Amino acid sequence: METNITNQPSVNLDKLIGNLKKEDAHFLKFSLSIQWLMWTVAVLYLAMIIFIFDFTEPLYKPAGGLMVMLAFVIFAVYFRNRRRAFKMIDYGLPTTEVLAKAVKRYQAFQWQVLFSLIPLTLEDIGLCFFSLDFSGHSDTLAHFIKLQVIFFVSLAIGFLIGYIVWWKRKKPLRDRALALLKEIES
Amino acid sequence: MKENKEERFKDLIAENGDRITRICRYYNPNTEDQKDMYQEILVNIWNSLDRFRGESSISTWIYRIAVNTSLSFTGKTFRHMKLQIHDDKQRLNVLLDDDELEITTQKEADLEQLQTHLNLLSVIDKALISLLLEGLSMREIADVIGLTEPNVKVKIHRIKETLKNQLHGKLNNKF
Repeated sequence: METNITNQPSVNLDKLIGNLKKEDAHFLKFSLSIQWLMWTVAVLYLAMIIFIFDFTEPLYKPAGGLMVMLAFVIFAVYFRNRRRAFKMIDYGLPTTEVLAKAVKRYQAFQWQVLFSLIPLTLEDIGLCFFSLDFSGHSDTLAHFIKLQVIFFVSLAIGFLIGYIVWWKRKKPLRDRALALLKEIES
Repeated sequence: MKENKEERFKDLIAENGDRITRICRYYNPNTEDQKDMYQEILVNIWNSLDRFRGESSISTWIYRIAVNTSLSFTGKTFRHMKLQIHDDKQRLNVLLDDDELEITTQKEADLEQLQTHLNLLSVIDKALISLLLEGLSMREIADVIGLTEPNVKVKIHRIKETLKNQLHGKLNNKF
């Protein structure tokens, strides 16, 4: 059963392909940039430890800095992978699969959120090592508590902003995908 | 590899352009929206092309991308989605399966009535009807949507019954 439709929308295919290739190249460039940034920070930090660090200072100080840097690297890898997951949506799958994946992708809490606890913990420990003095000063505990309060309040604000963004932008998409999926499977 | 992708893409569009155009016309009333959706489908074909392993036929794959794009949650196609059947009068019997109604579809007013009822269908039902109007078998529709064949048959039967009842109601009211 064919209809004679010859008037296809006038899309300039060469221009479109050019733009798509540019976008692919941009995506690749972004991934490479993240990798280069990570390696540059790692090398710079190593150089800082070797050439600048005062070795009369306790060793937990550079160890703390190293942990913060490691947390940064893990976050960079995490965000790169998340971006890749969003870029790699396969529209060639059956509709039910595409919808099920969309529901999963736009969920508020995912296992990746638990994964982010690793770099966050590293960052917290690293900041404590880096900024506290463990040489027996009486105000170390007060500083530690202050640091924890600042850290967890910042974390809570971050999560709250993330949740509001999800509620406004992603939740409607998830709800719609879920409704469509239910309708198909009913 | 990239050049190869470009060639494959161009070949695909050359072979399936009319098919994609028809799908776009089903869903959008005006040419600007059709063009937007056509372009969106091409973008999704490009982005999914590397993952096409030939597990389904190319036409099924194209229909999947077209339907999934039409259901996409960010594009304006979803909000304005309307099933346009003006150019497919000869295919309407597929929907009606009814002698009495077959005759009436020759009349412009009844056709418009059918159009109205089609547009009252849910998004998923519209997608199923668009595939049916494309002449796909129940098996092929099941492959595109990801349901079992009996399930698709039941759904389409239900849609046809609803349409027939609505049109019968209109006819009875007339006489």
